[in-house]
Formats: sequence, C-alpha cells, structure tokens
Amino acid sequence: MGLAGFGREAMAGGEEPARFWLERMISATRSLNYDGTFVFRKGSYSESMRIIHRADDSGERERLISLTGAAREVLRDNSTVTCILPDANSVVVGQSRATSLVSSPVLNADTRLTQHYSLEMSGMSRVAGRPAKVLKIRPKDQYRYGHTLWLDQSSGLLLKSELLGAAGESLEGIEYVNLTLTGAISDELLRPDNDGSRFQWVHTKAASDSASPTQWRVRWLPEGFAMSERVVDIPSIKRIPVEHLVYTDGLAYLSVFIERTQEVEEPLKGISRMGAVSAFGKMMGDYQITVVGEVPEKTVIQVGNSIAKDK
Amino acid sequence: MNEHTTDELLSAFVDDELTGEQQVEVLERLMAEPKLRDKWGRYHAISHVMDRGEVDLRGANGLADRVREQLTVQPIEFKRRVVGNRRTHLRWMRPVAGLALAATVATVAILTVRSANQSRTLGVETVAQIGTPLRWDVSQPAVEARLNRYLVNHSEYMNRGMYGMHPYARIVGYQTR
Repeated sequence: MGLAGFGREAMAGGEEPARFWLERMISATRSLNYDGTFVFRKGSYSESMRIIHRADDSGERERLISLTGAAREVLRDNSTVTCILPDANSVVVGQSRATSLVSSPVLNADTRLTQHYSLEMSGMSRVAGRPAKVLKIRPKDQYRYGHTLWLDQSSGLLLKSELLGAAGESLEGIEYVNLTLTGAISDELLRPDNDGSRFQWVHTKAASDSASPTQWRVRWLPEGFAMSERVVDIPSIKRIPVEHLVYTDGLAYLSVFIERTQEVEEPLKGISRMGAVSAFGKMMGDYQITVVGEVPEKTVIQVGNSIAKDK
Repeated sequence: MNEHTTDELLSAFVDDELTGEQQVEVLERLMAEPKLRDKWGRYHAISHVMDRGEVDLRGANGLADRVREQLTVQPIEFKRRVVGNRRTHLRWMRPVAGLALAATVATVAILTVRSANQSRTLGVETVAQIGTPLRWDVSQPAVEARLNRYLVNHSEYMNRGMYGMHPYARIVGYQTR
C-alpha cells in the first residue's frame, strides 16, 4: 500500500494512523526542499548544526554543517557521500545508496515493524514555532531502542526526535530551532565551505553482492531483523576488502563488518559505545569481526558472538 | 546582557563550550541580529585560523574581503581560549597578515532567518542526562579510526530509512577532545 493508500484510509476512518505519519515523515524528508538549524544532543552534550536539502528531477542533494566546534560537513548526492573533517585533515568519500523518493525500508517492512514495535500517536506539541504531532515508537523487546518523534503538522517533516534507552532515558536526539520550507535551494548553498583539497582523501568503493557468496553466517539476530544488503567495501588507502552485511527490522539497522587484518593492526575486542551507537568486536583467525548498530550493547554482543565462518 | 557578556558567550559558542540550552539561546539571537552574525563569523574565522594555522579562501560575494578588511583595522579581544588541552591567554589578536578568512564566514551571510509570523518560543525540554560517551570509548587510535570508517558506511544505510541525513550528525558532532 503506497502513501496515497494510507491517506485515503486515514480520511475515510477519521483517524490518523501512526504508520501514516511515519511514512509521511519519510516521504517529506526525501522529497521536500528545506533549510533548517537544529541542536543535536547526546546525553548531556549538544552541538548545533544546519541541514540543507534539495530534491528535484535530478535526485536529492543534501548538506549537513557543524555550526560549533570543528567545521565538519557531510554532503550527499545520488552517487556520493563526502565527509569533510578539517580537524582530522581528512575527507572520507563513500558511495551514496539513495533510494527512490517514494520507497523506504519502513514501507517494505510494514508488517515486521508493528510486530516488534508499538506505534502510537500521542497528542500535539510545538517545536521551532510549528505545531507538531507526537509519535511514540516503543520496542516490544530488550534488543532495540524506542523513539519519540515530533512531526511538523503541515509537512510531516521531523522537527524533534529522541532515541530512548531501556529505562526510557534519552540517549540521543535532535531538535530544530528554525526550519524553512523553501521552493528553491541554490547550488551555492549545497557547496562545501572547505573543498578539502589540502586534506587526505579516503575513498571507499563498494562492489555489488553478486560476487562470491559470503563465507560468514550470522546465526542469531533479534526477531524481525533480516539482511537488506551485502557489499564489499574497498578503502582506497589499505585496499583490504571489507565485507559489509546490513540488517534491519525496518527501523533499526545493524552492520556486520568483516575485515582481514594484518599483524600490526590493533583489533577491537569487546564492546565500545558512542552515544546511542554500540559496537562489538572480536577476532576469528585473521579476521576482525565488528558489529555496529543503534541498538543496546547486549544486541551487538549476541549478534557478534553468533557469527561463524563456513568451513 | 551587556556587550562584554555577549562576546564571551559567542566565543564559548564557537569553541563548543555551551550547554544545549545556551546554544539554543545563542542561535535565536544569531537569527535575529545581523550584527551579531557578523561578529560570529569573525570569531569562527579566527578560531579556524588558530586551530589550523591556515585558512582556505572561499569568497562569497566579496564578504570574505570585507570582513578581512574589517579585521585589519579592528582587532578582536579574546580573554581566554582553550587550545587543545591548554588554556591560552590572548589579550589582543590580529589575523596573520596575508591570511584569508575561513570559508565558514560565508555561512554567516546565508544563515538567514525567515521568521515570518512564527513564534519565537522554542519549547526546549530538559532531557534526561546520562553518562553518554561523546566518542568511541577505546584507547587505541587505530581502532577508533576503523570504527569511524565503519560508522560512515553504516550511516549511509540509515540514511535510506526514516532519518535522512540526521544519522550523519554523529559524524559531524564527533568529539575529538
């Protein structure tokens, strides 16, 4: 059922299902032109950023800019994601995996989503001076996080979000201070302030998953997670292929990275966290296995410990 | 708030030393006061010069030239500023002769506010505060670098989902100190 179908159902029933608003948010995020300033929060830490998004017949272009601290930027178009990191003297370039403006993993995983999350509209609020619908997404098990979203009543765009831990604590979130929906976004607004020409450039190329089948098996995943992608990334500096398996339940994403390491490499062994992101690493022979995701630590640990290599 | 306090607040904003609520307050004022935005641009440029020792010029309609000319005749006072893990006391500071302004100054010119008839109420809510790590909690730089590379690749798949570019906020906001 496409977005239009949800709309007709909503109007006919006099009720606005949570799934309708979630899908409206995804569509608006990808299809509208907007320029906004928001605060990004991780626990007690905050940083201000600006986002500029344009969508037209040629596709999407986006630019994310840090307004405080180091002048980092991320730019994305149909083919490339470029992270400009002046404080690290580096530019990281990856492959953009943009999808059609009208498709989304959430729509495709509609059934799975409601099996593992409860969705509920929870009244109205006001963010950045705009009326907002409040949408609560709560996990039905301990292996994933919950979300609270504040969506612009007029456009469906996300105005505020909170990612919630097991105890309901806010792990991470964004809140718009100002948001402008505009008819036109100039090319100049989407160009980086620093072209990074003096930095070290790291390019990651991805090969399709039509190559030889993976030798690795992930034998345990939280219910509802399924593989959505398998690619082999080849960083330009070391040229060592990194197998990248992507799993999603329609809302949360887990990545499994498998990389052959050299003796001089320092492996990650055990758990590491950054904000709401958990990572678990272990060695299997010459291979570094790393699981990364916006999920609780126990999830990446269990997934990582279940990984085995075919004989 | 007097001019002296405003300067300190703005300097702290550029140096990423404010709480979330303070940042929201500064952003509101930046949006409403063009002169304050100009001052922010100068502070941001100076901060960039001090951090990197060199600056890329990306003029935007002559803005960079105009600000550079202004800086030459009007030094900016910094009371105290953290550089790395040291506190450096600077009394009067001029940009090094011949250096151009950071391209981030151009951001000032395009950070416009279209307030229209929107309310200025932000409705900032206090969020529960926990000990959330601001960067990967590993001690080995090579491990940290690898995790960051993985995070960039992982984020692109999240970008296909419900959050658009917001997952990249973790990369943009990654703390190196």
